Amino acid sequence: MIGAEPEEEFGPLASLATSRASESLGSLLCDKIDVKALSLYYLDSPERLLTRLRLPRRLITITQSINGREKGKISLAMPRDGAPILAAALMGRHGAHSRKLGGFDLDAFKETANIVTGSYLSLLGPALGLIGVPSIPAVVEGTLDEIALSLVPQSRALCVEAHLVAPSRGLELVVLMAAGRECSKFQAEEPAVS
Amino acid sequence: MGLRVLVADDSLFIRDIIRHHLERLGFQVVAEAANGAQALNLYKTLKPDFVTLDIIMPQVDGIDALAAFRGIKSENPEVPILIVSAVPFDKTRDTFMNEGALDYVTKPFNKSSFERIRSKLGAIYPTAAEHSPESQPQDSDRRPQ
Repeated sequence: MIGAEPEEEFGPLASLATSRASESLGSLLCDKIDVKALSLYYLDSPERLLTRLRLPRRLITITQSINGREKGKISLAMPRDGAPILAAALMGRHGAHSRKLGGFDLDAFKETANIVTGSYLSLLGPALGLIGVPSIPAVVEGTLDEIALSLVPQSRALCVEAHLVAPSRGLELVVLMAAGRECSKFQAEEPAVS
Repeated sequence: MGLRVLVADDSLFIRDIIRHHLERLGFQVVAEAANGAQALNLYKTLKPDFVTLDIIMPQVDGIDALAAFRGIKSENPEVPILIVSAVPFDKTRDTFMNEGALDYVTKPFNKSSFERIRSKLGAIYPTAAEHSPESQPQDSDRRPQ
């Protein structure tokens, strides 16, 4: 890990974005959403994500790329087992009715990701140099070590990781926003690598 | 009969939600488009009274949302177009509002999002607001929003 703790500079915006994201998710699911955890950290290699990211081994991610002054990625991740629960919730049902996911479920996941991550892009995006229009969301299913590299834009990144929980449904979603930190702004702020 | 609406969004899930809200307000969704090119073609064919347009859709035949917006406006500069987006970027909002959009709403929608739109449309189509079935009892919402 390199660099100073980023909470001081980006923490307030990240908190606000997370609060808005939980409201948006709550509105989508008609449910109470808690923010279980929020952390900001620097990665000096994508492999670090494997030890840093607190996610189950098998998961589904919905990822968008953003190109502004920096390259960035923003993902909504969930345990594979949680996907049918989310699908049911988005259709206004309780519980998981089927483990099999259809095209409509995946479409709903993409839009959920769009909506939940929107507050991060509008609030944190400009501060992190990510001001472009995000790409169409891509859904990937796999193990964390298979997927990790697709969640970060380049070798070094500033990451915002938020865990949103719907307690009544036993559902936990993770937002991971990763902004490349090769631009001069970040280089100037970065202390010498020890 | 209420206003005839074209809904353009690449997400079937979102189109379903928009249709639900619009039909509750008494509008008639006459067509759905999954991209800007489709939206433009359907507009030319059906000439709806009102269009909702998602701004992040796959580009097809070189037509993105802004090109579709301009294409529809060139067909009929007076047609109201509602922009919908998951990302509340001020710059994007300004771009479309300066191009003449009716309004810009951010997902997720709620009832009040579309109530506001109905009010704006009422100024353009005064008789349309009289057709809302909202005052009548509704079936329970299928959608959670």
